Amino acid sequence: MRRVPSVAVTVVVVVAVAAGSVFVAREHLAGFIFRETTSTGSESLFLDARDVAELETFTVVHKTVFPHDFFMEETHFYALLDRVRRADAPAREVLTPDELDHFQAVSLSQRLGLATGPGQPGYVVVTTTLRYGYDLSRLEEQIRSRIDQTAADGSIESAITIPPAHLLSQETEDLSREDYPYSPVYLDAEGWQAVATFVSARLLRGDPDEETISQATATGIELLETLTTRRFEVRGPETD
Amino acid sequence: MNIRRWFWAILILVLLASATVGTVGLRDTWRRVDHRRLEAARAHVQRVQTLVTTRYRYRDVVFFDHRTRVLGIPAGQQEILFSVEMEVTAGIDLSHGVEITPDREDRRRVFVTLPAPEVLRVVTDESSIRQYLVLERFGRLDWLDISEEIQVAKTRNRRDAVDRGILSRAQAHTRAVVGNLLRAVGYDSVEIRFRPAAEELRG
Repeated sequence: MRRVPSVAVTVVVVVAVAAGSVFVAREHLAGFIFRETTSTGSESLFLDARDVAELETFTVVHKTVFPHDFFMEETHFYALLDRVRRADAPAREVLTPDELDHFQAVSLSQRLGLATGPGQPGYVVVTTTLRYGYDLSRLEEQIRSRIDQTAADGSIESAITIPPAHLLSQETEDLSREDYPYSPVYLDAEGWQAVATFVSARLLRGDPDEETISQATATGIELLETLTTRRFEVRGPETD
Repeated sequence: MNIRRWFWAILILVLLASATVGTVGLRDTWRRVDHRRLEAARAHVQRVQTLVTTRYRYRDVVFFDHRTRVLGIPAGQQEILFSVEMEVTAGIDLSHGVEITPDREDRRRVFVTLPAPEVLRVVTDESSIRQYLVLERFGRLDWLDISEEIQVAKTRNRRDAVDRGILSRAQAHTRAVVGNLLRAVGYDSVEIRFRPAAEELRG
């Protein structure tokens, strides 16, 4: 019978013991090789309470891909920069509104380390909600002053006219992993603030869409007719 | 001579491989970005019927610290401390049903049934952000990680607002607003009641 060399037995035993040790201590080893720890915390302070009377009738939710939605085709940042330098005037006086958006979006992206040209990675999808409707306390005063006639017995047969709905509030949705299926957002608090402010300012610039105002006003008329028990015909501004 | 040939052959192969990997990587990145761009949703519009009557404002100080160690040696740290204001908004959702019935015998009297007041939303005010400290060592902060702590703060503020009586305050102010509106259109007596909240119905 052939004898197994003692060296071979020793090697097999050592390898087996080593493998067993690694298997048993693999989690500790992994923790030693690569370890990540996160600590978070926050504290709240109640500031104040206030009463309002806002009748919200219509919302418009915008999804904006910053900075890509502000890039113009066939436009280059350095060409715009050159024009601004040559004109020796503020960018807003030299560039068109769309060019200015492109110019400012690239400037902000450069500062934040996001995309500076079409097709580049580094973006944030920002969801902004605009709420339209009426300040009901102001509307109540207007209704009081616009009631044409009131019968003594309370049977009122008249119409009240309300102004067009207006923007009540705008808010930027906070990001959360569950609702944000895109790339990581490599921004700090000030970076996020700058992007959200940039996008909101562009959405609020100029007159609101006529269709939005008309829909918001129509829902307002319907709600006011319900709330005033249909004693009046409530009219929008266009039928005034 | 042979060594020199092998050196050049290997160098050319390495360069070709790098160029191929680089091109494929760039194309992949390009495609990914284009794909994301296509996902940019259009504006979504929605008709709502909400009466907002009360707002509570909070200021939150948020802290986040992420550290990485490799073989026990510090290999990265991302830390931030900032404050932000939030608003808890309460009121009633009129789409849940409003009943307004004038009294048959007294035309100057009306009975109103409204949905129970509820917390409608908790909103963060980005313009109020103040950043006190930021540290990015071997890695960048991901705002998605920090947002998780903001969600925690929002849930806490919502609960605190309810504990502080935002719903009863919203109910009282809704009563005043709807009452004033009905008085403005000629009713002298307005009797308003609220439906019980879902939690109250469940007991």
